[in-house]
Amino acid sequence: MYNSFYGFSDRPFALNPDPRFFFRSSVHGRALAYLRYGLEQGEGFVVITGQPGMGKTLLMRTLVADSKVPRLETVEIVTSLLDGDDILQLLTATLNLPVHGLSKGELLAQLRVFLMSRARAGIRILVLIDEAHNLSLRAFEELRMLSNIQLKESAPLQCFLLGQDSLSETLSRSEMVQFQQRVIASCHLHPFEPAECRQYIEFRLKRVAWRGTPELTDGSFRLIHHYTGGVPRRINTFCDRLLLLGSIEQRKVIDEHAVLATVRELAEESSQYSVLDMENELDHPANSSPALSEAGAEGIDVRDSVIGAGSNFAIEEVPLVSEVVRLPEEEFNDSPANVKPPLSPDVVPSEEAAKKPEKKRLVIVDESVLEFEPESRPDPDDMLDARLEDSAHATGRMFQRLWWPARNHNTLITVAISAVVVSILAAGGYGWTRQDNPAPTVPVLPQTSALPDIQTTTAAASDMLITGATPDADASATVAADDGPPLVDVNEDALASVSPYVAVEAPKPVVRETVAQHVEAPKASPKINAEVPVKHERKVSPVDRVVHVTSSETPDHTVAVNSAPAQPPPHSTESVSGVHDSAGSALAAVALPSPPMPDVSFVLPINKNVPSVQPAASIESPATLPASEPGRTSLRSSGDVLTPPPKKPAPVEPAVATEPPIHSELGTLLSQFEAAYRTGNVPQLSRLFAADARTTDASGRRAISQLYRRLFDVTDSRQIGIDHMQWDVASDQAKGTGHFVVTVVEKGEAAPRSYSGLISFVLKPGTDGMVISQLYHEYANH
Amino acid sequence: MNMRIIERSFESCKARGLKRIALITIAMLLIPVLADGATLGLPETTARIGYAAGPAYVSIDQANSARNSTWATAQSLIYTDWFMAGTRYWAALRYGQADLDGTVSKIGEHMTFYGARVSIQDNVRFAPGFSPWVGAGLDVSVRRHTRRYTVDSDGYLAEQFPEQTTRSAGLVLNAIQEWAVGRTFHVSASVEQLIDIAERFRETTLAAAILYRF
Repeated sequence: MYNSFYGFSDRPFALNPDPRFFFRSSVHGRALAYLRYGLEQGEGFVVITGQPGMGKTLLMRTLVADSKVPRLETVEIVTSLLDGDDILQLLTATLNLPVHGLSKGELLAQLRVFLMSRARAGIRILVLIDEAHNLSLRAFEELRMLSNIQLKESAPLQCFLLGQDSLSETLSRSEMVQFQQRVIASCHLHPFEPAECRQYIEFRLKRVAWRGTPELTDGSFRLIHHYTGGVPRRINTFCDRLLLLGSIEQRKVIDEHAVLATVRELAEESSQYSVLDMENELDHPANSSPALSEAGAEGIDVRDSVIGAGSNFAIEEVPLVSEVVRLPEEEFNDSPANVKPPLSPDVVPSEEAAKKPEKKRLVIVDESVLEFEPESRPDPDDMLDARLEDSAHATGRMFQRLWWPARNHNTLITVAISAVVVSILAAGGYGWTRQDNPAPTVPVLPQTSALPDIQTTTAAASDMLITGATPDADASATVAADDGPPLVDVNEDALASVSPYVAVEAPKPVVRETVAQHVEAPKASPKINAEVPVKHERKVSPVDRVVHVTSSETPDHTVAVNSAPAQPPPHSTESVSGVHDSAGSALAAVALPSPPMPDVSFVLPINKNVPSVQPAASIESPATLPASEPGRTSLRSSGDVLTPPPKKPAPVEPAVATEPPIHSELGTLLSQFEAAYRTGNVPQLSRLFAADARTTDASGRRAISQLYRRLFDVTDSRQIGIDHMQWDVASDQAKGTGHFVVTVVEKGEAAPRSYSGLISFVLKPGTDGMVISQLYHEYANH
Repeated sequence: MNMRIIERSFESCKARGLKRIALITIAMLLIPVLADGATLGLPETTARIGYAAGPAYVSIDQANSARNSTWATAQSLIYTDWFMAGTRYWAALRYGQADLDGTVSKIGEHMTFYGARVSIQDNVRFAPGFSPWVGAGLDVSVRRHTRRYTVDSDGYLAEQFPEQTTRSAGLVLNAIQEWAVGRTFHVSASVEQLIDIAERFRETTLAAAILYRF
């Protein structure tokens, strides 16, 4: 309606997320950087939180739209009020896989083969879950289990979780520790500052060919920010109504009058717009918030405009303000008055305070408006809490992001001091630094020594962790953030004057605030392969990969391939897996954290003769392999007899041996076969077979093609996954046996049918690469 | 050899068109058997057998130019499998009985009919839960007419007629909706319309069937 009046090309403040209107504010730009980092990592979970209307969905769509990640398939789940099984079914259905009639096990198997087939084809699946704060704990657990699916070193599935503030609280729960470890990046979206609010409004207006009409006064911008709280969606709603009102009243200038009139209209319609106490503002205009006082100074009768005419404006039922206190920032931070703050000279007692003791006090600290109960002075704890919630101060914002799950600063200080003390006691005296900390450095404890051989240490935000250095050093300790008794008694009064951002200068290790807040610095991967030059004489490495079997009911287990003799567990606290050559020297070593630890990794010194570095999993050595013919080497994959280690199960990333070219060619051929099968592409499928190929049902490429054409004719949709292949590679051919799962929907039927069983391939060189010479299958569940 | 035997058995048929139709029908039955196989993703046997029963409304032109109609019961043994290009064939051996009442102008009789029907069907997906098979095919039937009579205006026997055996061929149109019951059973509801080539016999059949994939 107002578009034509103001000459806009489009609605500037539409509510639908539209990447065209993505405003790169400081917080959104930073969040986008985090998300891009997370997307490039291609694994784990990325968490975005923020109150409703902060632009999470728009941020996500902008990220996906601008993504340069090749072969990325994005699925979006919006309805997230789901339990564990529901999220599986919804995810399966969203991926266009059959759901009806399948048990949970079949669903998981189907998802697994689908993801694996996608991964083989080089396609990543990115699942965007909006409103993730509604997910149940079981749903989180199911997602975590899905994230365990891996193809070699890459994860075919990545999840981005978008939710409100309660999502952070959910993730900070003690039972979510395993999930937390998989969060590689997170960010919290804060409302706009007044300046950014103005830039945001002008940005959107310019997007629709705004050329200065209507003109918005400075005061109107301030009032808009005041009433909308800097939340983009509220700004959109508000400005939409503001422009509508402006067009109705033929306004070329949008001033404070128009803003207040819009506030009045919206207040009559909903409860999301309110003011603190207009009555007090009018009685003490000099002490009111800047936006309101300026409005009053310009002669606007705020009372009439806002709460006049009997409008029901105080919808949030904010009591009347008895006094207005202005506190400068310095007083708030460092003054001992914070403990029992006297009224500063800026405090202006209200005469009405005595008359109306039920009124609240209005405290303004650096333009942040805080409210406090009557009969009390501003309590520094409350003020700090309120500032953490509301302040735009950079330190507070960082603090809030870091310690979001634990907003009670007493807990934070307790945990921080406990961590310091425990670190001194456990590691012999070293501290940590907060690299982005703008607060002054306060020496707390002396440092004694630095630990050797530690290159990188990272810690998740919710768990303060101080770790030992080497596997031999029993120097790890975990301090729970929320639950569990404090390890050290701390005099909180003594700590009150200490900034929570305690910084201790120490060389190493460095405990970082969060991984997400260090996007610029490359995140130390928990899986580090360090290679020692070894002459490879064989064409194919004896070990394909170490199987990583996980269960939602039991801790992760590292399992051995091909039933190799059990190795004694390492005596160190770290689990190390490696790939050994025939001489037993370490080709690669992977240092991994123990399960209770958060995202912490060590890099161990690579030493071929280090006896203490033993693989946690029994890695198949050439001696344990079955006897092979000369020139013939087995490539083993998962699926063999798996035995968990006797003690201390630890998650082990797959240790992947360098594959010869032929192995990747086998994988490519299987991917092509799966793709042709899924799409029903007979010519493509036919090209994968040799002219004299044989299958269970037919001989010759032509007959095989006819059979598959018939299959494609009689089925509406098909999915196939081939997994657990064990290849026996010779010079002239490769034989492979594995499992398959096929799900088809036959014509005329609503429910899918799943078949699984064994499948075997014999491949031989063709003119354009490997082709299928023989393909046999046997159903297991027919 | 078998084909020759079958051909000889039809030598007595005066209508050569009927014989040709029968040969085509048998050939259609043989083709899918030759093409059967267990492709990856289909069961080793895709064929199904079944039994169907239901009412059939039959209408027959009689010698005196009258048309007599009644409800009959019909039963079928069914064999179906994929055919080609996503279609399937549906073969049925049918048997039924009907008692037509005699009047002054209409011949009453007891009719027993048996025959074979083969139709080619394609699936039409209207909705996820409603995707019937629609098809067309051929029907060959033999009808045995016994106890043929007329009555007078008082309802007493007026005249008796000799027994007859007639053969006919016709076009059959059908629509079948199926529902899976477990992995191997289906139930179906079908409606079929028979259009006799000689236009002496018409039949509309409603049937419920149970099918088994063996």
